[in-house]
Amino acid sequence: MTRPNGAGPAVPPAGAAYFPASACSERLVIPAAPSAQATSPIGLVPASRFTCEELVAAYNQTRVDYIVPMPMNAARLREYIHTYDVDMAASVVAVEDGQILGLAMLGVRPEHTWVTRLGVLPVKRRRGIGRLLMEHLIAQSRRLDVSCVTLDVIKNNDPAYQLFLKLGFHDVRELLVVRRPPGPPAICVDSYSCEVLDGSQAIELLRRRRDAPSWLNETASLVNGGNLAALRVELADGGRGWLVYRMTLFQLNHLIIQTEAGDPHRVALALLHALHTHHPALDTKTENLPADSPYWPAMQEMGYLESFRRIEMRLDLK
Amino acid sequence: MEQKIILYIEDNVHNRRIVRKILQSQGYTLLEAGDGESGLAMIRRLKPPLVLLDIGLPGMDGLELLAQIRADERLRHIPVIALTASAMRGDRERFLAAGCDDYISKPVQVAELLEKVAAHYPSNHAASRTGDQPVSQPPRRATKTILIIEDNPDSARLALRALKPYGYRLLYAPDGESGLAMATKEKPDLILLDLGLPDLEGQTLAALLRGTPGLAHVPLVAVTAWPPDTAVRMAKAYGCDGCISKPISPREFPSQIAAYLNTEERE
Repeated sequence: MTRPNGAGPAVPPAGAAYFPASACSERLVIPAAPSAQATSPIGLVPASRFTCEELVAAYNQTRVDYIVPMPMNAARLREYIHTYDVDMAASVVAVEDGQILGLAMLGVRPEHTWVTRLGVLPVKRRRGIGRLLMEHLIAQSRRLDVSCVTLDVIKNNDPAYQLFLKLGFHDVRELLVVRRPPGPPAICVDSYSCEVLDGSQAIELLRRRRDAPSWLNETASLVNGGNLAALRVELADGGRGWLVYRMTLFQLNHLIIQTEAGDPHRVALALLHALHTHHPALDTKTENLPADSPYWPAMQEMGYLESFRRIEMRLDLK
Repeated sequence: MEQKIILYIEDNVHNRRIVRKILQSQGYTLLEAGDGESGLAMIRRLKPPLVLLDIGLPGMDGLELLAQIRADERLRHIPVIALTASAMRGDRERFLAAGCDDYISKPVQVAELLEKVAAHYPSNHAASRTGDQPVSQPPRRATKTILIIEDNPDSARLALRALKPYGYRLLYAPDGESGLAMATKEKPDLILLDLGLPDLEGQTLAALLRGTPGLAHVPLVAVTAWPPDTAVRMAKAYGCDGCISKPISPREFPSQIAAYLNTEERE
């Protein structure tokens, strides 16, 4: 939407996110924490009672002042829910006087759950709302009888990190979010032969994986997300391995590398060389690569940059 | 003006929306079908001038649909461009042998999509064969046009208000898809790009803008609240000409912008 010179384009109005009256008809009412400034109770409502449009409007406002805001639109939230097995009935929204104050979502898989998209409106923080949301998701996880709850918090988000420690979570490892701008490989690698594989062959390879992926890169996430492809390389010295990746419309992402034989560094260089020779014009991003991954040095040589770090945390329930 | 209609058969709603915005920005009208059966019905009913066909459709797949088009003498003249996520060697030959006029592999590159659609759209055949520029160029303007791609309404309002007194033609896009479409259509003199967008990520969009005909050399400036060292590193890697930290300073912002526009003039 544009206007003639000088008048300026229209900008959507800013404002709080409101939920429909129907959404809170069966809400669970929980008194605010003793230090709370407000007098009215805070209600916890299942996220399934809201539309994705309502949830992203609130979510984006909770993240405006984050180190890495990562806003979403409704279409991306729907994909996210599907890809990461987010259970919207188990996920929760905090409301007060018709306004969404914060929300938190819960991914549910057979052995564990995953807390994601936790956020509280900046002006409503320091009232214990984040803790209420978290305690609700932990209780949901206990009801589901899973062995642990995991989450990934952006490194240096100290308020959130301290809350998770108080709730009993402990550090598991550091994870990197890395990306590489488009361009063919800028370095030469050992000669290799390469085989290009399709989605079903990629899923077959994932059945043989030996890594310990974070929730985002678990095989279930990759299969749910679809659009998988793979490369398999063999080096002259007998080294061999494979790379599974996801192709969205404009991006390669979710890179999973495995060495079957030989030096992991040289195998990874060959795989990445093959990938970026095959897709020289595409942006590439991969999230939650363990900071101590044996493949990270090869990725850096191939032009990958660290975007930011997360800390993976876990709460053991059994 | 006569409508330039394209039928796009694709089951992924997200892909349809992005391709629609890109093609609409070039004056095409996109009709859409989400599966092979309804796509074939629309082809029979409407006889569109050009079909974009996802090969990996549920139910009747793209190749089966293509075979039906090519077997029907009333439809076989319609140009069909295949879009496919398949990365198998030999696919191109397989699809061309099956009767596709051309082939685009996903992830789609904007430049390739526009070029191939223009080349195969019936009325453009002559122009593309003689080497004319298939994408229409906006007329030259004396007033500088600045496109602000920013999802946060408060940040957008602040930037627009700061620049309004300086007589620029200001365009605003609240997400990556509309930003890409607007940039492709309007060819602005400067693009301000928020790196945290709700649909396409800022870096991905920067890469797409740099790969789009007519935009490769438009000054592109990242505007972001990221930590400065990360922001500068990312902006540079993704072909941005500079980086401005958020929140912007309304007092300094106009001179920062003018510097990028003046740099372009010197070159």
